[in-house]
Amino acid sequence: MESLGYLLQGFETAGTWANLLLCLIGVTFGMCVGVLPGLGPTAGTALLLPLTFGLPPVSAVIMLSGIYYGAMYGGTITSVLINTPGESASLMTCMDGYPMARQGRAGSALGIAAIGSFIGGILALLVLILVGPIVAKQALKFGPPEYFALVVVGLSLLIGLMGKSLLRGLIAALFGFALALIGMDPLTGTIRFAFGMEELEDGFEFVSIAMGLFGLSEIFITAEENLNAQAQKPPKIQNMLPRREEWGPSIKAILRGSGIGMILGLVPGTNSVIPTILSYTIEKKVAKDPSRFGKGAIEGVAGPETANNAYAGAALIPLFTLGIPSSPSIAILLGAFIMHGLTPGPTLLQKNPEFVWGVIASMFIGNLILLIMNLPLANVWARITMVPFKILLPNVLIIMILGAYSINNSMFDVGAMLAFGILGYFMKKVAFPLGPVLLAFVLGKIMETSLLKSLTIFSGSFIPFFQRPISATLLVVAFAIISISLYFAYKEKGIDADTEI
Amino acid sequence: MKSIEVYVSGFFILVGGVIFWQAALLPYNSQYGPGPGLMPIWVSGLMIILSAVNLVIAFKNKGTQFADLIPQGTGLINLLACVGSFALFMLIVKYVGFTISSILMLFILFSRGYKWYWGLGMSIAVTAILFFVFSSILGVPLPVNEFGW
Amino acid sequence: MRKTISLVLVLLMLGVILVGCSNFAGKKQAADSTYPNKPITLIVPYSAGGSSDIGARLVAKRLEQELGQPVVVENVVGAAGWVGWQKLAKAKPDGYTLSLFTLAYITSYLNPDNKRDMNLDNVTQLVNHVWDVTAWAVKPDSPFKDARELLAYVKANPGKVTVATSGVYTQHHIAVLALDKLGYKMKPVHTNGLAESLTMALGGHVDVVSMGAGDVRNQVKEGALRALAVLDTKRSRFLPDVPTFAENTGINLNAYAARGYVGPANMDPAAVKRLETAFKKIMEDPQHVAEMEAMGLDVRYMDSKAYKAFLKQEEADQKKALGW
Repeated sequence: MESLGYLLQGFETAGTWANLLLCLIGVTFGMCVGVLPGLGPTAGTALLLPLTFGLPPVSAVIMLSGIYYGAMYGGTITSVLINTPGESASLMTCMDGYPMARQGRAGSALGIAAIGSFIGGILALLVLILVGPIVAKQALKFGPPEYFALVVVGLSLLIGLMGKSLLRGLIAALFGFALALIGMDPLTGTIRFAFGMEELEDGFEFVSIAMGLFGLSEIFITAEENLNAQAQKPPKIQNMLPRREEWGPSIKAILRGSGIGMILGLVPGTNSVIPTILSYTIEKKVAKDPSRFGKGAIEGVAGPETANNAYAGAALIPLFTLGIPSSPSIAILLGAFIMHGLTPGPTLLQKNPEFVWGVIASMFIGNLILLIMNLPLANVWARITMVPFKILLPNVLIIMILGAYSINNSMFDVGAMLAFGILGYFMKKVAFPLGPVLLAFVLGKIMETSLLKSLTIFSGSFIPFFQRPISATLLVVAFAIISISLYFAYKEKGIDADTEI
Repeated sequence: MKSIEVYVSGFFILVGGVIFWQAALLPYNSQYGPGPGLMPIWVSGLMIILSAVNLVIAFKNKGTQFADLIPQGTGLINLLACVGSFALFMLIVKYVGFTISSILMLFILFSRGYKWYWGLGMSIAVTAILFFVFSSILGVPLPVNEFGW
Repeated sequence: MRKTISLVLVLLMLGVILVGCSNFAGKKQAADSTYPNKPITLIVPYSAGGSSDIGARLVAKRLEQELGQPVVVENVVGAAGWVGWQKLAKAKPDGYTLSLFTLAYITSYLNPDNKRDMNLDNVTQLVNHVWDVTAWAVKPDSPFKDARELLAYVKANPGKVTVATSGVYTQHHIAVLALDKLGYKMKPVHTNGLAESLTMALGGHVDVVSMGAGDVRNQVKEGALRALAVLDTKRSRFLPDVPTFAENTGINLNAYAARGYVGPANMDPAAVKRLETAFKKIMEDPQHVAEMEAMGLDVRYMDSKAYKAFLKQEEADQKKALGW
């Protein structure tokens, strides 16, 4: 109850006109950089940071954290509209969000994503207030072996999602894994598979692969189909709200997504891809008709989007309570804290309650602003799908080029995007699944580093993985998931051909 | 006629093979246990095996033919315009800067659907707006020519 | 409708032409005054938003006031900084292209696997700026009371004690390798940076953590970690009660990240002089020192000559520790 009193004080701090305005600037700017693939919250924060130097700490952090969760909203928009995830967190949103957009339901997809993100974000904040400090300590039990086991669970879920096209899915996943291995080896610093190219020493960028395989290939295919096709009447834009019968499943998906995102957000260093895959899998499993997934199931957008935002909110708990930033964009928030003379850690809540509660209250406000902004905006964005393709195509293409360029300010990433676009074009033509490539790319990196770290600690032995309770449980779960999916893949051979990701 | 699947499997066997060969040159073990070659060997090895299985299946089945894959007529021209203008942009951006290459690329693409003067106008307008947004507002150091654009 | 659109288009085109011309005119006019008379580009070879980047942006902002010209930070990322430094090396040595410089440059070209074709002679050293000293810390309940006890245990149990270093060939790792050469074998566990090192240490997944003194000071102050030693010739002001490694064990083990600024080789001496004074003034400003201190970083000014000598010494030390 004491917390609630503090929270009210926090609203007083965050509710001043100046802070409200900064919050608005932060979330709007965050949304904009989130929409531009390649820029993202990290670059956005770096850009606005100089503006905050003259501000009081609370105001500065209010604005900067606004960028962080504003960008989460923005990333959804490109996933739904042009099948291009701006960051790994919105990858799963493409699976059903883009098909929905093609059916003229981009508004609903974005609407439910906004609602889900709002609920997920708020629930995560409530948890932050109530149990954050107690839970955070427990999360430290996650060491490299536990991360490894968690990633194995993520990969087994991926196999479970492949359904009938198991063999092709596995090949695609291994290809993604192989891409992840390019660059500096995390253990000895040996440079692998760079073939003498300096740009490859740090490996491929997620965004350039994602934009190429998903977005660019889709553009090529559409261009070939109907660039000149005379006014193939675009599907009529439907309401931004889901249909009546969709509300029930959506709300359930949102609640489940919040839970998943929050739990995984507490563990510092997990990747936001894992909660989204987990949420997607669960939605598909509990759905009455799983075959709708991949063809525009609204729960397939609601669940992962919520999980992603709940994750983002919960990821602040390790920051506030232990001083551990769990992702690069949170690391920048940490930098902003420190630069303004605040030190995140166990004592932050006691020493600077007005600061912490002010920021938390501003996040409530910021999430509300985003919801209010995004519900009407969802329809505006959705109208983009009605723009004739002959206007849309050149614009999207040049913006994608700029986005890929601005990851590292290098043309190399643009070239990589083109190469992956052509590859993706051919893979789509022969119905090779693309999702596993990207998911395995993200997970493969974590899997290798955590495996190598664990084996270093264990001096090369695998046995300790099964002696640690958390990693042992997770590995058993992964094994069970794989066996069950293999069994079903074997049994259902030939059925539901389209449900694979 | 072989199905396209054969070529795809072949491609993945090739990729797997290159990685396997490179990985074999890396040490499998290091001072404290695993080495940089551990993961790549397993990943590429599995990839080769699974692709080989897929290749065998592809030989038996009749799938999409290679001829079905490449579009005909306008579709092909559109596709080539997309890839070609992109490639052209990549080639010249280093020498003439972002503005000119972007206008040229957009012009090629817009011309597919509009009269040339509309295409040119829109290309210049879009380029100008984007150059302003990325270069001035977002501070991205775009590649420029010696005049600064 | 059509008319409006075409009007807008014409106006936009006009705008583009005007902007283009004005840029061009501006450049010509200022060509013959003294340095600096046009914007300066500061290459940061790391991603925007990291701590190196933020530190450089703080300096860039002050450099702007000092020199009266815009200083544009440009992040050129790749190959652990090397891509950025290559870009610097190709720039004209007229003082309008500078770069942030770290000791990773030396490690990078010393490593024979990397096949780099540049060394310290390919840059003009300007000044050293940041001095980020390493400290070793353990959990409060660790059996090691100080660095001497730790070393005794390591000597008796080679390869048993794990130490979290923030990545391969970082100053943290090189220090462990240097100890290795002296017969004290510890097992480095490479994390991907500060956050992971901290998690591993707090969670007890490693025995020792090697981190920047400024980064670990809060955990030490709050009793979540206990610092064993500072790896420098003198104590750090972030951890004034913690002895140096040498104080405790008699072994001179130093590890620090030193970040400075450089230009392309053979830079115009007048520009070097001008920049030296400007940087010196910035670094002596107590407000700047306080800003950097808040980030957990010490400021240590070295002029061009001292910086060059320091880097030469560092090159020799790294060669010895890494055996390259």
